[in-house]
Order: sequence, then C-alpha cells, then structure tokens
Amino acid sequence: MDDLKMLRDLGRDLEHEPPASLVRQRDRMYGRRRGRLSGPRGWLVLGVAAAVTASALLVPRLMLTGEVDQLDSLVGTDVGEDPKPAKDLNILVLGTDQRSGGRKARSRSDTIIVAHIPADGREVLVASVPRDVVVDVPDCRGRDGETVPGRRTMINQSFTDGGVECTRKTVENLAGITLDHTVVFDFKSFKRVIDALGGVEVLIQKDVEDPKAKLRLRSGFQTLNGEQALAYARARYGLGDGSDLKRIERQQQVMQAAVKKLHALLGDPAALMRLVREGVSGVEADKKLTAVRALEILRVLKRDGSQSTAFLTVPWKPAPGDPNRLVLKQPEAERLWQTFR
Amino acid sequence: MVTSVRSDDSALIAESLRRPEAFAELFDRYSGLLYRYTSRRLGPESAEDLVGDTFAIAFAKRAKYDPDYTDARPWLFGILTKLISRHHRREAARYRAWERSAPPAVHVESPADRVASGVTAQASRGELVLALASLSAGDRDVLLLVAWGDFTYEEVARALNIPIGTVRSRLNRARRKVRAALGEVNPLEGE
Repeated sequence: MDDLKMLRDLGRDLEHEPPASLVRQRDRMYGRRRGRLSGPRGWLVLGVAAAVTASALLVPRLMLTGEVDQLDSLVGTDVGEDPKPAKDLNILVLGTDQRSGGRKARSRSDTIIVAHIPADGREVLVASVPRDVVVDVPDCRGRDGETVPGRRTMINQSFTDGGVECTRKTVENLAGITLDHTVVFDFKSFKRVIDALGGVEVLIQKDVEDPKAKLRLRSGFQTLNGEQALAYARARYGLGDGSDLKRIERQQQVMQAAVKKLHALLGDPAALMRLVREGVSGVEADKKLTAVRALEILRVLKRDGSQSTAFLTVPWKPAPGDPNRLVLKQPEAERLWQTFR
Repeated sequence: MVTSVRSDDSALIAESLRRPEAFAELFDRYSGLLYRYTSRRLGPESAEDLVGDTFAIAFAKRAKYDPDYTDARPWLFGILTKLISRHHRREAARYRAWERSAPPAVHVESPADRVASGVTAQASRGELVLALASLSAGDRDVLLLVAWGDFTYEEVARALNIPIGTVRSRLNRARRKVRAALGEVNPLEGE
C-alpha cells in the first residue's frame, strides 16, 4: 500500500467536522467581539427564519382545532392595534425525518429549535440544539405507555423514546426554561409548504450538481420548488465544502426565503388558506396553541421583521472521550439559556 | 467544482480593500477546509481559534496579496502552517497519545466507511502516526500539506515561501522515514 494513501486514511481518522460555532470566528476579522450574535449583514439573521417558518407551520394548527372557519375573519380583523402575547413565549420546534413508508414510531428528530419570543417583540431568539449533543434525558412515558427510565444520551433519542413530550421535558430540564408550546413538522410538510408558497427564491453561489441528492441547479437567483428546497437544505455533499456548517447556512437561506414569501402572504387570506391546507397533515402542535395564539405570534413576528431576530446554535464542544458526540459548552450555553428565561 | 471557486479568490481579496465585508466570503469558502486540516494536526480543541487567527491575520495582510495567484488557499495554509508550527510539540504529543489510545486492530469508534481500509492497514497506523510524531517540523509541514492539504509542490513552495527544490527534498526525506517505519513492521508493498 502506498504511504501517501495510508497517510490520507489516517488523516480522515484524525479529522473533526467544523462546529457551527466556527462561523463566529468570522467576526474577528473586523475586530468585532467574538460571539456577537447579531450583525447588519446577518449570517445569523436568518434565524427568524426558523421562528417565522415555525409560525408558518403553526398556522395549520388552525385547522386542527377546528377554528379554520374563523381564519378569514381573524386575518381580516388584523389591523390597527398589535396585540402582543402577554408574556415571553418559548416554543420548541422539531423537524422530523419520517422515513417514507415507515411507521410514525420510527421518525427521528433531525432539527431541534427553541424559539424565544419576547412579549415586547424586540429581539426574537432562535437557538438550534445540535441533535447529537449528549444530555440527561429524564424519565419519560414511552410511545406504548411504558416508562422509559431517564439516562444520559443523545438529545434526539428523547424523541425516539417518548415523542415530543419527552423532548420537551428534556429541553426544559437542560435549559431551565418553560416551553409554552411545541410544534412538530416532518420534511414532507416542509416540501408542501414551500410549494404552497409558490417556491422560494434563493441565490445559488455556483452550479450545483449532486446526483446523490438528485439536485441540479444553475448559479444565480433560482426559484426552488419544495423538493429542490429540501434537497438543497439537507444535502451534505457536493455543495460548498461539504461541512455541516454550510448545511446549516443553506437551511437558514431557505428559511429566510420562505419568510419573505410568508410575509407577503399574511395579507392574503386565500393564499394563507392554501398554505394551511398543504402544511396541515405533517404538523402537530400542542393543544394550547390555539388559532388566536398562533396569529398573535405571527403578528409579533411580522412586525418584528427578520432583521432583529438572532439565530444561533447552542454552544457545544466534542464530548470528552468520545469525539463522535457533543456536550454543551459551559458557561457559554448557560449564558444563552439565561436570555430565554 | 473547485475550479470555478478558484478563479476569483484574488478578485475577492482586491474587492475587500474597498469593501471589507467581501472578505467574509473567503472565510465562508475555506474556513471549513482549514478547520478540518487543523483538527487533524492539533485536534478540535484549538482548531477553531487557529482558523480565526488565520483569517484575522490574512485580513490584516490582504493589501499585500499577490493578485497573480487566483487561488488563495496556499496563502491561507501558509499562514495557518506558521501558527500550527508554534504547537509542534503538542502536535507530536497528540499523535503519540492517539497511538496509545487507538485500539490496535479494529477502530471501534469510527463510522463503518472509515473502517473500510481494512484491519491490516489499521495495524500499521500506530507506526505511521509515531513516524509523523518523529518528523522535524519543516518536513512534517511539507508532507502534510501534500498528503492532507492536496497541494502541488508549487503551491507548497508558495505557502511556505521556500524554493521548490526544498519542497522536494523535505518531502522525500519525510516519505523515506514514513516508509521505513511502515516497512519495518508491516511490509505491505509486497501485496
């Protein structure tokens, strides 16, 4: 065997993927303080993205609660005063990758987001929690009603074990916060929502040719349909440098584009209804999340605008002794959670 | 894919003189690449800081960038290599520690695709990594820029600001040592 080839194999074994937090190093070039979370040109701006897309997905709640008939009037009356949620809200948003043809029980949480919407609507915070961060999962009720004893494991295991309720408990425990609402959507509904929005316009940096993701795009501004947007947001290879960092950025790019479209739709009840119909089957929200509440949140976010939302990843580091797992980095993570309380 | 990216690094750097934000694009292009390379040599703990340092230095020196070179990677890796060389003892210690902690035959923690290279190769990993630890800093820089950075001799010469003949002689010496270390234990050439 060739010594250079062996050396390359060895290199791959020694290699680590860049953490999402790497992007913060970018600000150091301009002498900005490290860890500063919002900036004018917004690599993180997009956060809203998450929040508003989440809210876009809250809208389907209207149908689930049978309040759909009120939608027109609710949207119609939305002029004048800006009703605000009475208190700060924390919302847990989970994106799941339900395997096609698989049973529900086999879906995994692929994206874990905690959104903080302050009552004054000033700065919305959206934090994603890396899915393989190791945390204490409390005792949970399993999907068949049995008790799953608490243990230390990857955070997305909590969803596999006990569904959204278990992840909610886990995150509340981890962050020391109360989660007021939960929203779960699968990627199929993501696709349909994008299509219902009429596609999203994204700036493609350079031609994309990724047979693995069945994705082929020319550079420049392109309107992606749901299928393409999902492939673009999730693809790990054949795009950029293949890092997870790039993947997160693309996800944000798509979310941001969706937000733009959504804002335009807020004044268009018919289009909103279409969105609701398309998104509804793949979205589950908790019972307290009524139509009125969802609209309140949407209004806060709408007025708030994407510029004042910070998107961040909860600070983490490789787990000691196991480079394939992560743990939260303290005290940075704790400092972040404090802003959610 | 990479070729299209290469063409305009120098244009980007030129633009960043008027519009400093343009430099962020360079960061987006290569920070992941630099991170991975650094994580191989020094581990993930300090890689983030070193990548940040590299770009901070590059940004400060961008006015001196030679626009004839369209690909900025050799330049960035040159800065990075200098930063890494301050840690060459720690680098060697990392390789030795890795050798001690890695199970000799089957590397359990690795994903399946990494194991594909096989158990025989795995057995001589230890020798390989110890050989890396024993190289002089200059030889190791050249060898790893070629093997892990995928740079040509010309690019390595540019990155390290040394004559191309020196690149060749360092690389030859380094590979001789590595092959000797491998050959003594596990002569695979005969396969």
